[in-house]
Amino acid sequence: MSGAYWARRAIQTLIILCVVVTLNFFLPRLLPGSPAEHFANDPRLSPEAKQEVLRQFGLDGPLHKQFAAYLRNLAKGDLGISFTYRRPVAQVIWSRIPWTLALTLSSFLVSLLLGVALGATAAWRRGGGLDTFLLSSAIVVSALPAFWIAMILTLLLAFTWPVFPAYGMSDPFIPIGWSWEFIGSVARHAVLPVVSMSIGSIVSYGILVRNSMVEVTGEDYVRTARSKGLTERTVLYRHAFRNALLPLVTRIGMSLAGLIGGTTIIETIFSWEGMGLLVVEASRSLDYPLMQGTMLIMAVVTVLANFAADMAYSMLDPRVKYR
Amino acid sequence: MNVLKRMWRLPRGRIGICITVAVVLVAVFAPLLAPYNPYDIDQRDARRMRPGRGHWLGTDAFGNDILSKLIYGARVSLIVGLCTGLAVTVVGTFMGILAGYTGGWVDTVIMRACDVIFVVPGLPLMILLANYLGTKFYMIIVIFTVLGWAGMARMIRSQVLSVRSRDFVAASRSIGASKWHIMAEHILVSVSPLMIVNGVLNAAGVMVAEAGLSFLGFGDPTAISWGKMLFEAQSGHALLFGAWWWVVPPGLAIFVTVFGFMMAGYALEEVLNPHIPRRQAFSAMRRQMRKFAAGRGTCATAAVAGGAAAGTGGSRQGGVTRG
Repeated sequence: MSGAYWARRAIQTLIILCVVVTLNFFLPRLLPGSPAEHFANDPRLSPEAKQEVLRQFGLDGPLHKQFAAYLRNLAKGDLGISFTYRRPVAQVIWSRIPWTLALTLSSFLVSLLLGVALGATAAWRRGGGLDTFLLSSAIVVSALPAFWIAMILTLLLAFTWPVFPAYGMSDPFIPIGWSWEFIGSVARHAVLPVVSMSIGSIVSYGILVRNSMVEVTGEDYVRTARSKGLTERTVLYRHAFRNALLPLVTRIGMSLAGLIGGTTIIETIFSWEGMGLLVVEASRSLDYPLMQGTMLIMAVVTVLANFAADMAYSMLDPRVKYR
Repeated sequence: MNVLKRMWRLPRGRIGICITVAVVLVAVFAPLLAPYNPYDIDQRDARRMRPGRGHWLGTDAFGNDILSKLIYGARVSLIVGLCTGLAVTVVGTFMGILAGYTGGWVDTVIMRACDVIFVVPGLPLMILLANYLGTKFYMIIVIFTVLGWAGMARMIRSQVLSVRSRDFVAASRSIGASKWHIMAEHILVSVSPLMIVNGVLNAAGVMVAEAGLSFLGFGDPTAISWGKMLFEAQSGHALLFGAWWWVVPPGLAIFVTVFGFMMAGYALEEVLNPHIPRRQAFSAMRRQMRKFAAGRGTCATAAVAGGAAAGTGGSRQGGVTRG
């Protein structure tokens, strides 16, 4: 880990952020079906009203002036006003984030723990039953749409045998607040979404840890550790396992990137009112400021998470150099 | 022909070829095979019929025969999957060779563009683009290509970097061959196995992604597709009525088709790279798994999986990759 590497990665991240912000501004304005066109083609509006609406949403005037105004507002944390909610976009997004985090964080923890345990065990008994199961389920899981797994789980566990609620975020008869009753209700509602989200990622963490363990056990330092006469257990857990977890850091960084943006379909299936459902709603109702705002927040979180993962990796593995 | 023959000798090649040929035949001869024409409103029968005589898989909420929809649905999946696979392969290979062989600022620009595509959340961006560009199936192909070429370009580029310094390239350069001639004649040929295999795997991923997009209601509104059948099942409360025959067949159809493509891809890899030792024969599968483990399958897997694995998907890659 050198200062130069950090500096170059930081500059790169800044450039990507600038490109993302710029694209986020220009994309809706340049593509066919832009917000301006949407208003301008509405025959119900009088020309004066049209001008007024365009002015209110900052869609009049030359593009470079609009862009300057957009950047000024962005710097103040102002993402515009949502058409449908008639509230500031930032406020709408802010109210959705905790709900998405509740899903993604639980799924992240579940899949991390189970995945690492599964992968390490599979690598230990390489070629054994668990190993074969893990490898074949990786193929099955990548060929199956996650939302279909979610639907089947719902069909079985919410309707055929009604164990868990099929959709929603909490029981409507329980007042919202920090009561145990409410938290329990939310947890019950979260079971099916979290399980459907986790199946794929458990397998994917498992494969990652398994492959990395298998690779590491072929390394010289593992042979050295064995030849020192250490027990197999010590070799595996003190020497192999720790190094095998390195690739996991990158993977965790990518999961962090998906913490906010990765649950669109699952949230839609379970009517979970988080960020993913917000994107879908915004798109369906042509709420442009909201769409732009959600995309921006998701992209920025992804960029920063990738940067953080790279930094963490370079601290743990000093061999990493900027290529 | 030779390639097909050698694929046939491998078990997974045989599975892949059989499934792919079967699905293509079903798609081509859909009007002959389907007992009803699901596009013809005169052939509608009683609504929500259970599977039985006359309707082997029952009817949907509009009285359309599910089996016929399933058969016609193969067309959209195949067209979108194959066309996108082809387009991604062409664009990605071109960009990858250009970046890898030319180097310099061209390389920097192309690779930074890839970085940007990798950080934006896949599925939300697809929804956004589908909103602006419309959802005719050729637009879906354009959207998937715009988001999918980056992964291909990166992979091809790294291969080009290792090929460009080989002797035969140097020899060609020394007798005065132009840059474009070398890129088209020598580099393209040496990356073509990688290109073909990943093109096939990409097509598989795109089919999952297309299903995800249609499932959210952003598919081609005039075409019957497996994803849209699941969307209709969801919006028609199939789970509430316990109508498993609305849900299970389209999901299995997606699974079987994608699985067939993946198997064909892995067999192709083994056949096209005969010089790789047996031990490494699974390298495409392993690479795919590593990518899957790293949370970035094909654009498609990424997008949809994104949904699955805290945004499996994603980044894609297609992220729709689980996204």
